[in-house]
Amino acid sequence: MRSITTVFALLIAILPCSAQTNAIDRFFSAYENNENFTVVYVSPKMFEMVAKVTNDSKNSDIKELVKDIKGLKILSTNKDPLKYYAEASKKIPLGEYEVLMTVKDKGDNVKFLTKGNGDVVDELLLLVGGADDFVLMSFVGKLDLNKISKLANKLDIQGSEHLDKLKDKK
Amino acid sequence: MDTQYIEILLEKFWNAETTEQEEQHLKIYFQQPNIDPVLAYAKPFFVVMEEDQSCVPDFTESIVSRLVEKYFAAETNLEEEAILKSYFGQENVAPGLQANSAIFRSLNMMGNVAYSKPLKIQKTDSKKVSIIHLNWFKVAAAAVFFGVGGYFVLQQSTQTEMPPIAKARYIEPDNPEEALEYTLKALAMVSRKYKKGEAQLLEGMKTINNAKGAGN
Repeated sequence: MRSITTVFALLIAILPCSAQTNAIDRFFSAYENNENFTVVYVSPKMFEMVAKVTNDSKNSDIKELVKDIKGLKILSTNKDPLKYYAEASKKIPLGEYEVLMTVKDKGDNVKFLTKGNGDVVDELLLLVGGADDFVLMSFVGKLDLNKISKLANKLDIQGSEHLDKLKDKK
Repeated sequence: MDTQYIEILLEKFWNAETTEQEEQHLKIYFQQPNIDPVLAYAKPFFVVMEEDQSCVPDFTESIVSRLVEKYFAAETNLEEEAILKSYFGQENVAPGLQANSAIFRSLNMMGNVAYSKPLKIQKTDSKKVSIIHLNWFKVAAAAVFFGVGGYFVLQQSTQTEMPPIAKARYIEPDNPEEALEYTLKALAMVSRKYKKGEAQLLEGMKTINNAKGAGN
């Protein structure tokens, strides 16, 4: 009889822990059932393969940037972007994330939230909410924000090049 | 049986080649009084063998009689009682022990009695009833436990593994090149916004400085 009570107590003790670890995942999953959203998910396993691919590439800047990323999730929609931006701002546990900066960019509200100290963070959340789009990005892994900002031009070109390729493929 | 035949049998016996029947012949020969003096040397082998065998029941008898004594002193264990039962269950019980055989035979028979009618347990014993209830309670508790546990496990697994079935447009790149493209695209956005923020910060600082300068 006593053992059953102990097991129950354990179960109850474990529950909130498992819930807490997935705070941001839960946030994502809340919208994954909404057909207006697009979700992009790159798993840690895939990033391992990405690291192998970039290892051979000549572009050392990109290689350096990508090699420490462990996971990426993007949630985006073009329906009621401002509403979702407000909702997300409220739902993200601010006890866990630190607001790095809030930016107004041509009518877009932008919020950087981070986990970890200094310029190299362990987790980065980017919230963008404007008249047209709402985007929430979650990067897990070591990210050097200074390096990223310096590579803006290069990334833009690379990104758009790749995007073009992607479009050709489909 | 003539001497020559026995000689041949003996030869075989020493070489351990005799059959049981031949050994029996040898025994019979050496037990009878007129043995050929030439073969007399071999007599002890066969006569002793015969004596040996007759010794065994005596030995058993002494053991069994000791066990019987122990049994009546209520000092036997289950194993010893089983020996007694099996001994008295067989045909040739030593004459000294015959008196006891009736008791142990009846015990043996009692062991063979089987219930031919279905058992009806009367639930008058309150202790037994409560044990049954406790068991049901345990079963119920276990069922609730696994139900609740299973529900939470299921819920978690749906949270972590179900997204691909979700209604939202779900994109999971299945090759590294595509994954890299999405990552770079995402990083480019981060980069642009971050640069913008930095610029705004600088501008803000400038305005503050200008304001300060104007104030002075």
